[in-house]
This record gives sequence, structure tokens and C-alpha cells, in this order.
Amino acid sequence: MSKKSTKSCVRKTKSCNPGWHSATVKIVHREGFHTRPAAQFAEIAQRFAAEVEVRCGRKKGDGKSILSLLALGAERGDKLTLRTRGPRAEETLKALGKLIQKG
Amino acid sequence: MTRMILKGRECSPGIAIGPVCLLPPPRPVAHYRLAQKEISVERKRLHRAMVQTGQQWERLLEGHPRLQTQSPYQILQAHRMLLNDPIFKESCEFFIRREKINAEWAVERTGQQLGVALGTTDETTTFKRQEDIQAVVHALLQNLSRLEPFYWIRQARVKNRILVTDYLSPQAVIFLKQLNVTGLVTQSGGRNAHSMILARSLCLPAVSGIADVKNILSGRPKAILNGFEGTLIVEPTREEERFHRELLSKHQVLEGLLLREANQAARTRDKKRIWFEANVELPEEVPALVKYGAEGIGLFRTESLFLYRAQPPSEKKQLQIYARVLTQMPNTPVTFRTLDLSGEEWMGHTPVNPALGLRGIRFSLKETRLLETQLRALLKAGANRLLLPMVTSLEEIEQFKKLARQIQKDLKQKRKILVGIMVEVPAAGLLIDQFARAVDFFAIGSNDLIQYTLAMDRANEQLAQNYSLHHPAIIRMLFQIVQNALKAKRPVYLCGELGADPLFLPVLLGMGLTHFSMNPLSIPRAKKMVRLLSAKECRRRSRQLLQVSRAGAIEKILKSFAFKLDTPWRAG
Repeated sequence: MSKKSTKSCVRKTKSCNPGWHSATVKIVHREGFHTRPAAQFAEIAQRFAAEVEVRCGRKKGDGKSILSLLALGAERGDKLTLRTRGPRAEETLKALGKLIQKG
Repeated sequence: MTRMILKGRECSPGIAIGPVCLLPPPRPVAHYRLAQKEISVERKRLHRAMVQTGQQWERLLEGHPRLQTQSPYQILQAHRMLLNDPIFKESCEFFIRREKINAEWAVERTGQQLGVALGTTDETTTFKRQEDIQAVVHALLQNLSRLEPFYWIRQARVKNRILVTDYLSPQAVIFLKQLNVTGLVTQSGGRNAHSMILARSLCLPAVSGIADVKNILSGRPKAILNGFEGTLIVEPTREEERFHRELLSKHQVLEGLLLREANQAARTRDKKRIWFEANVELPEEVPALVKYGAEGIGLFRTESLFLYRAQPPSEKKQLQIYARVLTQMPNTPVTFRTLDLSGEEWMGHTPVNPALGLRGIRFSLKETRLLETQLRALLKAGANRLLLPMVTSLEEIEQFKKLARQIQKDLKQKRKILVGIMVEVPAAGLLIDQFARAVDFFAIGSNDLIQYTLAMDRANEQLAQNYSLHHPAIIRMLFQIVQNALKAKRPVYLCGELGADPLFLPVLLGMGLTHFSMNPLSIPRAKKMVRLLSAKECRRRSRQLLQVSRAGAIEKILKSFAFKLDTPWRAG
């Protein structure tokens, strides 16, 4: 994955529900969303109080559960939609989005 | 059994000699149905096994404090998160409740189900994910029915043996190390299997990928495992055995000799006293420091208390830890460094350039909540030497001292606190004389100082040719720092492995350094070197170095000096 294409990865989508912040990111890690990145994601998500929901295709998962994240089966190139709600939701979204882009 | 050489993949360097020990394959998991009234008992059993597994993993890490700061730790951390994930537990309980099957079976089925659910089109990725799930499943099965051998092996069976098995979980590797297994041979897996990464960080020699190894070794012969070359010599000749044994014992004897002298104070041949203190990352390391001859803690890194956890530790928890460290090191100096975290990473951002970002004292002064909590805990615990990381300006020191004064006032404390700064940035190195008015001592962070001075990352392979410790700028920078600090009558420490480098130590002594702080394991060797050196001679020679303008030439001079001193110990 070249650096250029990751640049425009985070795209804020209009949230349909009030209170939800959402963004779409593309997975750049070579091995997709494997154990270590997923563990890191869940760990950071747990640091924040906001609710975190992750969608990949038609599957939906809890961003604070490592198994739920792994079960998305997200691979490199797949697009994840992150949604956050609650205290400091926007900051949470930003942090997690960047984490995935980092790969 | 005849002599033969089996070739596998080298996974962890080192040599092990001795009889092999075959671990029996795991017995099949018991499957049975439950009666309605047994269900709640079974759920309790499952719960207990989960708690037990969590505790075992925690204890494993306690035995190996250094591990906690390395990357294999992330693997174990991920496993812990898998174990604690509510989905895992719910799935197991679902099987117990709905299908009325025993806990072992439920765990096994959960593992299978998750393994399938987590499968991807890429085989290696799938393998890795399943490896992680399997590690959790195995550990739970062990605790549920004591089927799997690892935790129940008696030490006598495996001590000083080379262990041969099909599969090893990362946790099993740590456990086997504690049982004094000398080497590992596995049938499958490769260099990058998580268990092998762990074997490397525990210095446990290992070879993998020898097909059919258990059948070949069924007679439990003697063998030599050579982790450097990835070979296993079965029934070695006397010649081979002697050769390998010598290699091994040379290393061990030297270490033993050094350790015996480690507790005595180090003086140069001309009777100049040199102090060695330890760099410590975790409170669990502290009890062992005395053994290595550490005369205090020169640098207690507090970051590890903050890493790998959802919430920063509370003031009470920190107070406990700091107080314990202080009671374990009575009558010796203990220097705590305030947290050196990358602010961006703390919140999960990826800074463009972390090395030049919101780090150390910069982050602490911005996110003062963390620093305040830490300072209160430190001051309550009675710490009297504080060290600030990544200082670049006088304002940072003043701001910190103001904060510390305020907290002392709140706590109604009047005692004097010594505040020092890390000199890791050239900016600080150039301003020693000015900073000296504001601080009580200096600590040179050699690794960072070198990287920032040369603007080179030593982990960058492209720069391997260019990166040199012997760069004239490094010599001059260090010289200037030490001279200016001593002129201002401020003690100056050198923190880092540079002080244990046989080529560099003479120069450092020559500059006038008398206080070192390093990895405790390096202290015995460094003390030994000091005893062979003469401070006067070092001074004379290091002055010469200032005139040399090429790294190659400097290295040559250092080598000839080391050669004359007969210090054949290689760094690391």
C-alpha cells in the first residue's frame, strides 16, 4: 500500500443518527486486522468512555472487544466504518481512525 | 541410536547439551453431556479456570520483568485480552447451557468456532490468528482438567534437558524457562511464531521445523542443540561434545567470576572510586539488583506503570509501588524519572515524527494531571531524587519546580528534593552551564543523545554503515557536557549501555565521569573493566581523541587501547 492512497482514507460520512460520529478508513496493514493490531485497537478504545462500533461490509462489531474485531475478518484493503457516541466521541474517532491508517 | 545431524530452522541462538525429553502429545479432550443440575457447577468450573489462567499469566510475567517492556509482551497482552473478552466467555457458557456439554468440550468448540469465524483467505494470517486463539484454549484446558502437560510437569523431569514437542504456546515457553529447560525443539512453527519470539527474548536456544523429530528421538538420546545454526546433533561424538561444551562453559565461567566480584566497590588501578547504579524499568527487578552489585538506582523509568493499561494508575497504586522500591533500596540513592511517554501515542495518534514530538517533560507539562498525580505519589513515598526526561529549555525546569513546590506545600512537606535532568538532546548538552544553576544533577541519556546528535535512528538499516558511536561529534559532545557539569560542581551520571562498552568505558572515565547507571546485568562486567583501568592513563588518552577527526581513526585508537588493557569482553 503506497503512502499516497492512505492520505485520503479517512472520510467523514454524514451521520444519520444524532450523537454518532462516524468515519470510514481503509486497512493498510499487510496482514489485515490481525491479533496485535486488533488488541491495540481494543485497548485504546477501552481507554475512552465513548461507545465504539465498527462495521466491515455487513458485519458489525464492538470496538472494545478484541474477538468481535477479529470476527469482522477485515483484510488489507477492506474499508472499516467506525462510529462513536458519548463523551469525547470525536476525539475517540480520530484516535482510532489514525491507528488503523498507521497499519 | 547412531550419530546424525538434523537440520532445522534456527529460531533462538545459543547452545544446549544434554538428554532430550519428549513431551507426550496432549490427551484427547474429554467429552460428556451434563445433567440439568450440573450446569451451574460446570459454569463455575469454567469461571474458575478463566481466573486461574489469568493469574498464571500474570505470574509468568512477574518472573521476567524485562519481558514486560518488549514487543513479545504485546502478544501476551493480546492473549489476555482474548481471555477476558466477554464474547469468549459467553460463547463457552452458551455451549454449556444450551448443549449441556462439559466445560472442556465447550472451550474446545468455542475455539473451533472462533477459529473458523476468524479465518481469512490468507493462510498465514489465519494460522497466526488461530495460534492466538489456541493459546487461550490450551491454557484453559490445562486448568480445567490438567490434561495438557505443561503446568503440571515436575521440574525434575525436564530440568537441564532439551525439550522436544509438537506445539508450544508462548506462555509455555516462559514456564519451561522457569523449570530450567535448556533448549527447545519443535516440529512445526517457524522463526516468527510467537513462541519463538519469546524464546529469543528469554535467551532460550531453540530450533524448529525438524520433520518427524519425535520419532527419530524416541530413544531419548543425548543431543546438542545449536541454536546459532539451527542444528540438532543426535548422539554427538566426544569431539563434538567437547567443542560445544567448551564454548558453553567459557561463557558461563566468565559470568560466574564476574558476579562474585560484583558486590565490591569498583576502583581503578590508581584507586579512583567509580559508582555503578542500575537502570530499572519495573519494581519487580529491584530485589535482584544487589546481586549484580548495583549501588543504587540511577534511573527508575516510570513509563511501564502507564503502558498497557486502560487507565493511568491511581495515586494510591503509584504510592505503593514507589514506597516499596524505596524500602527495598535503603541507604542508597534512588532516582525516579518522571514519566517519559509520547503524548501522541498515549491517545492513539500516530505522530509524523515521534522522536521529535510531544515527548517526556513536554507531554508531562501539557497533560499536568498525569504529572501531578505522579509527583504527589512520589513525594508522599519519600522520593528525594527526581529526574526530568527530554528537557530542552530552562522554562521547563522552572515550570516543573514550581509545580513540585506547590505540591510539597499542599502536602506540608519541607524537605529538600534534588531535581536533575536528562541530557538527551543536543540543546541541553550545549546549555549545561546555564542549567546547572537550576538543577542539582545531570544524567546523560547516551542512546538518545547519540541519535539526536547524529540525526540517525540506530534501528534504521539503511544507516547501519553511517551510524557510529565513535563519531567525533559524539566524543566532543560528551566531553563538553561532562566538563561543564563538573566545572559547575554538579554530579553527572551516564545512563545507558555505553558505559558497559569495553571500547568506550576508558574514554568515559578519561572525561572524568565517576557515576554510571546501566542495565543491572552489565554492571559486573563494567566493574571488572574499571578495575583493570588506570584513571590517569584514561585521561591522557581521551584528551588525544579530541584532536581526531574521523570515526574510523577514533575506533582504531579505542581498539588498540582496549587491546593493551586486555579487556576481551565484547559489548552486549
